[in-house]
Amino acid sequence: MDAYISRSLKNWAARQQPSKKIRSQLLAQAASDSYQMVEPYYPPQLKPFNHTLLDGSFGPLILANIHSFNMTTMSLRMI
Amino acid sequence: MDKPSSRDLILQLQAGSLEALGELYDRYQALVYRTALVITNDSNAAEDLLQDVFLRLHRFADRIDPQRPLEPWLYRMTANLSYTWVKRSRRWYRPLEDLAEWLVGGEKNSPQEQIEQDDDWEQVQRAVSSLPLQQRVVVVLYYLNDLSLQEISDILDVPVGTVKSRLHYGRMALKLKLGLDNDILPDLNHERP
Repeated sequence: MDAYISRSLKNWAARQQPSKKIRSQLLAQAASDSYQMVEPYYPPQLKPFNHTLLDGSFGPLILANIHSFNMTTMSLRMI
Repeated sequence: MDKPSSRDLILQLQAGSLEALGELYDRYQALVYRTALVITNDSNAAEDLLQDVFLRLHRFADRIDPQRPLEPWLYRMTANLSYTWVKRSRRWYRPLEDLAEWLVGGEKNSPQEQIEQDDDWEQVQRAVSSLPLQQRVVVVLYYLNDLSLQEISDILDVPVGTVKSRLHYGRMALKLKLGLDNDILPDLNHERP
């Protein structure tokens, strides 16, 4: 049964092709994306004051220990 | 001249090369499209998902490790996006589908005529596409893409036992839908390396 399902599914799928225009649409979209790269989504806690404050591998580490910091502008500057 | 490796293409993509994106598309579009097509059972959705997966590959290329094979990333992205599509579309798609079935009900072929009309491959594809979503994804990755249970577990981020269970129930359902005999449904006791 396994061989039958696998073979039938592969034979059916092998006949299916996406439209040729997808490739050109993709490249056009990617080309326009490169000029307006979207900022990755940051959850609200990573955007205090509506500004991306923390990113990269240090972000989760600092956030996990955020209670250790005094959340003032001065202390954030020290971080 | 040798074709560049996927690793080289990812490095070029990270440097902003759209030619590399086109080459990666040519290499992997069948894998992504066919996987999405069997999961969604909708060619328009599969084309949208195909484009979406490669746009994400372009957009998030810097997060991809060129030293590792690209296929697991593509499978994971395709499965996740297909999941989302099916869940979103099911909310409104099902009632419309039911309505359409009711409207054409009088002209529908008998089961025997339908079986004669379809070939074996289509019957299997239909049966797989009608499985519950979680079973369907595992069945597609296993039977269509020849992935091992461990690889499917890594891609879907679920335990191997869960993959086995979904595959087991998926096979049982396929057996019923396809009318296969018990003697050609041995226990699933083999694992791919």
